[in-house]
Amino acid sequence: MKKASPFSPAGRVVIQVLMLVLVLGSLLPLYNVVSSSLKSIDEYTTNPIMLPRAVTPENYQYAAFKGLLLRFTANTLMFVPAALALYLVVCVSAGYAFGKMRFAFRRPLFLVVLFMSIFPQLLLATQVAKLISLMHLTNTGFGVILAWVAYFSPFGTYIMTTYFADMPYELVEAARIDGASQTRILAQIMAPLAMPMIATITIIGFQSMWNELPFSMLILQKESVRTVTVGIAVLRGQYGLRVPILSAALVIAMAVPMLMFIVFQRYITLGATAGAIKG
Amino acid sequence: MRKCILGIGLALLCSTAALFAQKQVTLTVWDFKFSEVNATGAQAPMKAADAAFEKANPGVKIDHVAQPTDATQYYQIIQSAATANDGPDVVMFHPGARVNGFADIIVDLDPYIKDVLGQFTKDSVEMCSSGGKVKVLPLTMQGFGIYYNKAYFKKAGLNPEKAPKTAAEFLAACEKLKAAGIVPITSGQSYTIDFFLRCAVANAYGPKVAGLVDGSQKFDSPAFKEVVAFVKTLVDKGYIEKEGLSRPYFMDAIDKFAAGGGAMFVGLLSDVGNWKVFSDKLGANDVGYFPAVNFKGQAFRDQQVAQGAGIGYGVMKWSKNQKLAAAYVKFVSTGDRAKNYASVTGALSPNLAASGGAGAYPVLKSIQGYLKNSQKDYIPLFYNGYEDDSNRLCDRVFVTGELSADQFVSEYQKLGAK
Amino acid sequence: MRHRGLERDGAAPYLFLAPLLALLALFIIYPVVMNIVVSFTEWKGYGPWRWIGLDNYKAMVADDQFWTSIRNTGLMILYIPLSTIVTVLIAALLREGIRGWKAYRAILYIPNLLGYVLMGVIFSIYLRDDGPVNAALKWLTGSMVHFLIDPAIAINSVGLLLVVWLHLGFGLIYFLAAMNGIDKSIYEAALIDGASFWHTLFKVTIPSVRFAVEFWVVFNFIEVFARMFSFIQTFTQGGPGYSTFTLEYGIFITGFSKFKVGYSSAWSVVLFVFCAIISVAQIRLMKRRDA
Repeated sequence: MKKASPFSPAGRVVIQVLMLVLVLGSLLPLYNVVSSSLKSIDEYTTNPIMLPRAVTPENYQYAAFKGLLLRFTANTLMFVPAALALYLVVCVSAGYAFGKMRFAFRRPLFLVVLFMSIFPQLLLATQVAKLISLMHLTNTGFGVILAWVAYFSPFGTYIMTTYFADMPYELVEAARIDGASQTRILAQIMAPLAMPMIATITIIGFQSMWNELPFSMLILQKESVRTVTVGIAVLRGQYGLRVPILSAALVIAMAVPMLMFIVFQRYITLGATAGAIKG
Repeated sequence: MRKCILGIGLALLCSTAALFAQKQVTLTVWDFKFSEVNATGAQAPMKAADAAFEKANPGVKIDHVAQPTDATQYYQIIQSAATANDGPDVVMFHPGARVNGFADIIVDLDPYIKDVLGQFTKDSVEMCSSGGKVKVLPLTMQGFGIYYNKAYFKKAGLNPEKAPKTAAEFLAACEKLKAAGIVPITSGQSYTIDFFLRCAVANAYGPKVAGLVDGSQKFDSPAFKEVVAFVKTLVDKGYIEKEGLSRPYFMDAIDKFAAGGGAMFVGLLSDVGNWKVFSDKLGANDVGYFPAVNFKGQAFRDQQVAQGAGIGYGVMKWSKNQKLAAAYVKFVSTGDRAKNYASVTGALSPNLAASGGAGAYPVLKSIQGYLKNSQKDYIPLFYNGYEDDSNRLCDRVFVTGELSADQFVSEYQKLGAK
Repeated sequence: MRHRGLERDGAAPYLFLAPLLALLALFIIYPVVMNIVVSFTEWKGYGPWRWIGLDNYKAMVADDQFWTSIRNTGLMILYIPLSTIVTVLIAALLREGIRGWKAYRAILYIPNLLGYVLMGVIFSIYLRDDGPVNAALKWLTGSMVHFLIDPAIAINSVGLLLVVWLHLGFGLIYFLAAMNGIDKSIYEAALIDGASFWHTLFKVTIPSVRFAVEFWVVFNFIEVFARMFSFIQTFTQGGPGYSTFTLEYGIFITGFSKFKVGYSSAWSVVLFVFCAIISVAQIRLMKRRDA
């Protein structure tokens, strides 16, 4: 049976038109990036917007091999997943603590965490790099992972806190009465139910770390451990990087986050809490 | 007995290896131009120089690392190294305010370069020094001027061999070009006006340019006001391509002029948008050049604005191989290496012994002629970040029209006093 | 019998929080405190600093650039209501189960995937005076809009593009995840009762995700104060003149271009104060809900 809709047929048409406009607006930049990346610099000068007259892989070759972006992508692939794992552990457990547990200083501590999630990275970068170097972790994956998790966790915690806080307390209560430990409650009940938000913070956490620049630049100074975002910053000249090459570089840089997104976005629809209560 | 021999043999092996190991030295060089791998890019000549140095110094390895080019990022990384008191042996700097700013962590090169110092122009050495000591050895020098497309001049009915140097000739040329459907001045972002002002200020104040910093010369003067009015005319009449002012990338403007998108372009002498790039693209005989527009009432003519030094290498205080690092700096900034760098990248070298012949580039000969009357670029003489403040102020009068020309001049005067 | 769950939870919460708090204390609290201390000094970014008391603050208050940056940041805040309305509305539309809503959600997230740097580049290419948008406008209406070089329009372009449009992608992901907690049967019941879309929206959907709406407003405040830099840098570089020069951008220029780190730290303290106000407001909202 076809699902009933609260909209009139005319209303449905309007909505689909609106969606179409938004979709075009979202796809246009993607088209532009890919199209520009396939044009030679000479062609781009005279034809910046339309489809390439002659498709050339030279920009990708330049970015991937001369610009070493493939190598840098491999480096980034070494660091980000590890950082993401630590990030998820920190955010979900802290988010649950703030959202559902009762303890002294809960609100002041949360205020501090929230406050910390706001700062622009640029202000912290110099000091963080100094700390990492004092810990002798410069040019190491561990150093940059610590910096990333430290910087991005407050925001992830904030998201998880508001979501956990909004979940019905009865879920926790019932498990507590049954004598379950907090760790079990979190791992086996609350976290699975919070999958949509966990998937959300996975996506944004991955993306934030992948695209991060200031810490990567200051902590990973050697070329052997350089990440892809710094690699692109290095390609830029004093007066800017030509759009075709920049586009190819960004397509390479964006390939993995895009893959992550496609894989994880389906998890955002799992785990409706409502059923758990009524059912 | 056999164990004994084995033991001695191993010990001998180890000590020889240790001896060899001791001889292996790695010099780390940080650079913001090393990532340029295109045709006129810096990487090729730099790699050649590194290989030559390694060959001349067996046991030495050069670890040449490209760092982000954006000045704010690049110097942040240097600062980070300074704070950790550890990092590369050799670092590339922008001479002028940056060298002064970092002077306390750069080694004095004087004792190492006595024999080559005389090869460099006085201006370049001055820009590379701080507190009377030479901190950095310059690799290039920089300057700005107006390139023009001779073919387009011919098409518009102008004499391609005669540069429109006076204000009146310049305006007339622009009008004729416009009438012929040719963009008079291809522009890019705020750089076109920024570079034009640098040329004009050098021409207006001549050798007294440095007086702008200590206050003995004023922006609030008839000469500067005349320049400002002139630029305003260029923008208002559309001679300076208005679309270019909103063009997001300067490289686009360079490419556009090189592809025949306009008749004139305010370009650079080294680096990007230089005589080599345009000659290679438009044809060596089709590129003309003149350093500035001459105004009737002003004291000077045809002055070439120049920054004695554009980029240069310095040795860092924390380096454990200062002598070797200084030798490297000396090596790559002199002789064939300097010549090679200049000819491949289209840079101008401040090393008089390394200046090659103009050869196949008539426009370079023209530039070298004008360089005999070079004057200091006023922008590097001020504080760090002055260029940013200056450009934004220019935007407010020439692009958005928020300020009138008079307001601009008085604000600009105040700016210099900060 | 007293339920154990209503009492304090003992040591477990602190264990759960330990990693986060340890990382924060070291890598964020320490730099922030340093920042505040440095704001009372003259410092070039490394090496020794010189104590100058309130001089930085006095200079800041007298600095036109500072007030312009505050004004520009304030203008951005005015776009937050619009962003909230647009995002919630479209999320609700998709929630109603339009055919292909998952695909829409994924596609609309693409600008976020591309990142602020790239979107800044692309918008600056499309919106420039000789770009396609103005070409279309000229063809349609005969005149063009100076998106990038008219001071009044430029800042509004940033507001619309960044605060409203670019946040939409993430907003849909977030709100649709939040709306997942709403029982579907309520919608079916409402439909049977003949309720209109707007009725369910205001009476059911929005109240059920109040925590999400509050989060969204706070999130947008954070974005406006502290996450606009990379977009503005590639879109208009804070220009023309100072028309898109925000507080965050000013901190960057003063600190990293002029090497006046002490002075830029004073600006950043102002940013902290605003952030503190926002954080306290969020806590108040949470307190109200807990009661």
